[in-house]
Amino acid sequence: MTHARVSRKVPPSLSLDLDLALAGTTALFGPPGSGKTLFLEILAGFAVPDAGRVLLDDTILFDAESRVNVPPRRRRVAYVGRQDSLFPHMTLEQNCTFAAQRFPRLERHRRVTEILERLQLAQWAKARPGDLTEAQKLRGAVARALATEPKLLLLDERDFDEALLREIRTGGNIPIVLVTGDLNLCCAAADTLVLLDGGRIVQRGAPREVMDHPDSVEAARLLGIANLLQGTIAALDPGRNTSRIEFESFSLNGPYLPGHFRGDQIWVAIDAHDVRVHRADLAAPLNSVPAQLTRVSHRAHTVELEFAGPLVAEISREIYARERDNKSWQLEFPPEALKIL
Amino acid sequence: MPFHWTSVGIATAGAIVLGLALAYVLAIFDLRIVSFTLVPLLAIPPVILAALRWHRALPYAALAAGIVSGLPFVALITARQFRDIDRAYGDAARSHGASEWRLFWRVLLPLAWKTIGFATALAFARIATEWAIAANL
Repeated sequence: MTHARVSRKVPPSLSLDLDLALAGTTALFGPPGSGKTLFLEILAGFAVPDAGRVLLDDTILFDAESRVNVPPRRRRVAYVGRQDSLFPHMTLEQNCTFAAQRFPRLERHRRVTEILERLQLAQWAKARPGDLTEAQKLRGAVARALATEPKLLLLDERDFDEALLREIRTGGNIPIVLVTGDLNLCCAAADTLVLLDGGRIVQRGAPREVMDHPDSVEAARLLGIANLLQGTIAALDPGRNTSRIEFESFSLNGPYLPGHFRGDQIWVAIDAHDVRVHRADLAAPLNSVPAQLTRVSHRAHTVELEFAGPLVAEISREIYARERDNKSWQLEFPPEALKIL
Repeated sequence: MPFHWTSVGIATAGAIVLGLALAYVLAIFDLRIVSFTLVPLLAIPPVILAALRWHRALPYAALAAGIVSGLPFVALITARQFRDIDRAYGDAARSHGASEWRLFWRVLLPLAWKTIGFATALAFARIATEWAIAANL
């Protein structure tokens, strides 16, 4: 079992209780200052919490009560920090050999060669970090970390990509804790997504599950869901599996909400991607609301439209090209897009 | 008394070894008081002179005095350099299973060697000057 329950009172304060899977990737996602890096440092042994206990594979790494604090070098937790830390005076191969020190000589050489090959760094083995690009340095740092054969791999916020994470995993199922600000990467490569804010866990679960069903306003904000509306349940119909929610200036139809009553105050989150836009003089589809366009912002692949309210819709360039000349707009919120918090 | 190259060499070597050890301690524990007491040590000009005069019979006293006059250069300058080496390197080495000893020899020393060379040159010059003066008394 790998488990961390730690708290720290001095700022940056932290209070976490987290089970880590024995295999697979756990992604930590949160705004700056939410305690992601601090948590990694606690796991690695560079920061000391006030209270709690850290278990790795049933081995106690830290226990405040019995005053156990295993030094970083004995933890077998490899930490790839946010800063580039390949030793500049050694070649990439020497860097890895340095980390593989605890293996016998022949084994060490074999391991390092194998890892450099796996991470596609074989041709750079004799290069010094100064001659490598940022991406290669990052791969090098990961290679060095893997050379220690860690029981847990900590990856702090850097430009990790899906391919690199896949290559790490082909060599064995080392559990990974990944700090990232990239939700796409979380969905693509993580098995568990943990949302952190202010040193606390806001929500955790499978990435898809968390993305589709944020369970609090805070989680929805962290996930960047643009439309957050507070409303009152006006009607509930379990027979037809529908509900009616009233907001300040309009009302929407949603799916039936088990566990809620009429008159309940609820928050509704609607992803900007799920909002559809139409010309106002068109026959109104279900859940349509007239809206006043205030701002148009062009993105790489989409166009973001901001309406008075504020309500935000993110539509494809193609749809925008079709709708751009609208004099007045209406927004359609498909009932299945309503996420009830 | 003739100018004694061997003694100057040994005194310099002693100043480097002790100075590096002290520098490492200073860099890790940030001992301001020790750093401040090293500065006046630099300002005692006639260490070797005095040692030679009072202990003419004891060659080691002169050697020790030489080490004392060279040591602050190495310790203070190198400690500064050790502290300027990014913490990320130390953290990386430790989390990859390196002992403090290994970290010192394989990471800190190679990264700081230019500064250590510079500090050594200063220490050597200082020791040699004092010895030269003492030898011509």
